[in-house]
Amino acid sequence: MPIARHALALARAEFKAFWSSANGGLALAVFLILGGLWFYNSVVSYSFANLEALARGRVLDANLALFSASLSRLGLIVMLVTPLSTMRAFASFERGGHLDLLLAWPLTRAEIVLGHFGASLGSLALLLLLSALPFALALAMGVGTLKLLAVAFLGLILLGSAFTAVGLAVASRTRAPFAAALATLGILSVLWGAGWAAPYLADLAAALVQGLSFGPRVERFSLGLINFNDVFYFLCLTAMGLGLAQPFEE
Amino acid sequence: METRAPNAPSLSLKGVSRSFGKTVALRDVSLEIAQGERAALVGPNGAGKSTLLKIICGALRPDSGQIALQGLSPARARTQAGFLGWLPERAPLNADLTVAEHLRLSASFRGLKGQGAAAEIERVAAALGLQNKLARLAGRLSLGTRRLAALALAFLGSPRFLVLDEPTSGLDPDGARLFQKLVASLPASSTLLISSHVLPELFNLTAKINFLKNGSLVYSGTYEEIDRAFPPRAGEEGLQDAGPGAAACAQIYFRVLYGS
Repeated sequence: MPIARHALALARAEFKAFWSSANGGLALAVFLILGGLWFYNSVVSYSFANLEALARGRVLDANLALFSASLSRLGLIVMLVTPLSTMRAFASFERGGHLDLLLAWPLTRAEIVLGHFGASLGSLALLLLLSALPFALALAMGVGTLKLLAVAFLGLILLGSAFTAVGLAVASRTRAPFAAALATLGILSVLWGAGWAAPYLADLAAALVQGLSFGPRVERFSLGLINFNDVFYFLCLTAMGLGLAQPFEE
Repeated sequence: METRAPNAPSLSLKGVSRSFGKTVALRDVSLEIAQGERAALVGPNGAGKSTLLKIICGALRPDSGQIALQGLSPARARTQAGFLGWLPERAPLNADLTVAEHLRLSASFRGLKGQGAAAEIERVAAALGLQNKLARLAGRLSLGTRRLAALALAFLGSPRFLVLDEPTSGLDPDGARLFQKLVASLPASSTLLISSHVLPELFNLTAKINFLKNGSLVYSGTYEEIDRAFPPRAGEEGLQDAGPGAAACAQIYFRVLYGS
């Protein structure tokens, strides 16, 4: 199928270009530094909390206190990194992007959008794979379970997929990379924390913001729970973002 | 489903207009280019040339008017492999990809595969003197070399309709010569539309010229027609030595477009 072939070829080129650029290095640094610090912080917090619990004759569940907490926080890093990979996707050449080049090729809107989506999601998957290293070590030391880790990373990939699609939709509307990054971060932050406003809202509005909120869904995945509603929500958001991404006037 | 009409003009524009906010970029432009014709588009900066070329190539939508490239809408023609070759104004390349990566990607999008793709890449790269630059990152190329690489992308696969926006801007004389040679080697059936400020280059490469001013097409014709319509004024006779239409084009250029 030409659409899949073209999108894949474009995704490979964009993936390579992203990792050759400063944004790729920055995303890697943010991911590894923040991910490492939060993992370290979780280990330290767990150790102290466990000592206190032991004094009271209890043992804390390492899966919950160490693994799930760290995995849930990785979602926040995904949110910080996504705008870096999508901000220039549809910017003109003068603004550091290469939309003009893409338009000079016989590519359809779907191929251009899917190509960028594939590149961004591939980059995110690579970052997640690298950040899985401490968890793999913990796993080797008998902390956590492979199922928990796999479900949590599935959740993070679904989350990243939705974030990337939203980022592409925003980038296609703003064109200016910096504005695209800020707007993407703003929208994702609101969606992430929308549930926090629920107690202050009327029933219907509270249910709506809770339904839209990313936070509880990520937490469920990080507890090893696959909820069909959560998967459906992230897939719908991805489809909506990709549908709204209009990189040029057709 | 739209299908290409072999006998239709390569390009047909009828009453095309486009504005950006309150700025009118194009007003009621009508133009026809036959298959195999080599045409030029000239005009002062801000006349609307690049906007018109973007509309023709399907990168911008007109506010009103009709456009057909061999019977197809620009959006459809743009995505037909091997139909359209476009050099945008800024010769855009992805700074983080090499020249060879650009060419391979372009070849794959144009439906060229395997040995055929490699041979075509080699042909175009050799024609534009890029053989030693293939492994270089586009972001590290000089302005002229970048334009040559962007030209190579436009010419790859000898598209049936070539749209070139200021192709020799930033090229040294040797680069300009290589470009002219490549245009001369195009199949007779290939249609060409070039926007440029370099009139002598256009006399060599094109047979028809279109003048755009403030978004309107103010004159369109072959160089011979222009000669007849605009006989040289006193002091301009020498310009005729540059070839048919040269004096008249210079007249239109300065008298009509710039009002001097």
